[in-house]
Amino acid sequence: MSNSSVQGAVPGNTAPRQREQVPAPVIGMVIFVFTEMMFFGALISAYLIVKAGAPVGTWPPPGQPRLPWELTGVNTVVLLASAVFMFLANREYLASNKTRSIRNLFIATCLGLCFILVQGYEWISLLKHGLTLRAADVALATGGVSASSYGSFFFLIIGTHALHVLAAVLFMVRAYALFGSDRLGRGEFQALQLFWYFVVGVWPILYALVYLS
Amino acid sequence: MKITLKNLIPALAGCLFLAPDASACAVCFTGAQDTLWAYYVTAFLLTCLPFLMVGSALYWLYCRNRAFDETPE
Repeated sequence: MSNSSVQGAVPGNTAPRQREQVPAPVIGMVIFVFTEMMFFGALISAYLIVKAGAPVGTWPPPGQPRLPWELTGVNTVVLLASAVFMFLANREYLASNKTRSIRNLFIATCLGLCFILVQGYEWISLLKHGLTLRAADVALATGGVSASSYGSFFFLIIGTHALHVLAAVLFMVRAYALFGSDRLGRGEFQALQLFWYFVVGVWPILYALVYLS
Repeated sequence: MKITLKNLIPALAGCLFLAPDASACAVCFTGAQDTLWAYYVTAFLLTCLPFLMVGSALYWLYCRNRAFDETPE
């Protein structure tokens, strides 16, 4: 949106009407999210192909701990609620209601942090129960690579997503600090929302593929 | 032996036509029907995804511009 998109002067109006520019942080974040979608698409693709190639009855491999889909289901609701509060924060921001916007952003950040903490707790439990990247003994017992692949894909896909949530929460904390001192630009806030919606939006797909199938 | 274009081309052609199949990818490795379907479906999705993303971005810009043009001044 350069100056060439500026419309001509309107009769009776001295100031020419200008098209609203798409903020640079938003454009950058859109491109980044596109690459992230391809990245997660590749991970999901590899997971589905390896899972489809596993012998019948070996996915999840025998002897490996089952994933806590109930707890993670509740955690999914927490993450989705976080996106709702982010949406409300934006609505209040556009309505120039700073206090409510900050409050909603704070709640969204807390819910994101809660998601990370529950994921961490879940990982520790799974590691204690023997779900590791190697799982060499189980791999030998089942006569294949399924056990190690199972653990590897779980930690790779869910871990990558958890890293994204962590990065987004850090951005949200930064945005919260900037918001308090009136230094948060609209473009930056929109870019943050875009990233958060992506992180939240991709999670139900991962949850359904890894935990429920 | 001096490497020139004249003896490099036959060598490359020999590598292409005389080498046995590697069968190294996940699908060739197992050859199971389920794996083949998973490969086809995910390959299709990964092929379509960039077009969907760029298309949706262009459509958003188009709607944005149209809304601007239709807004009364």
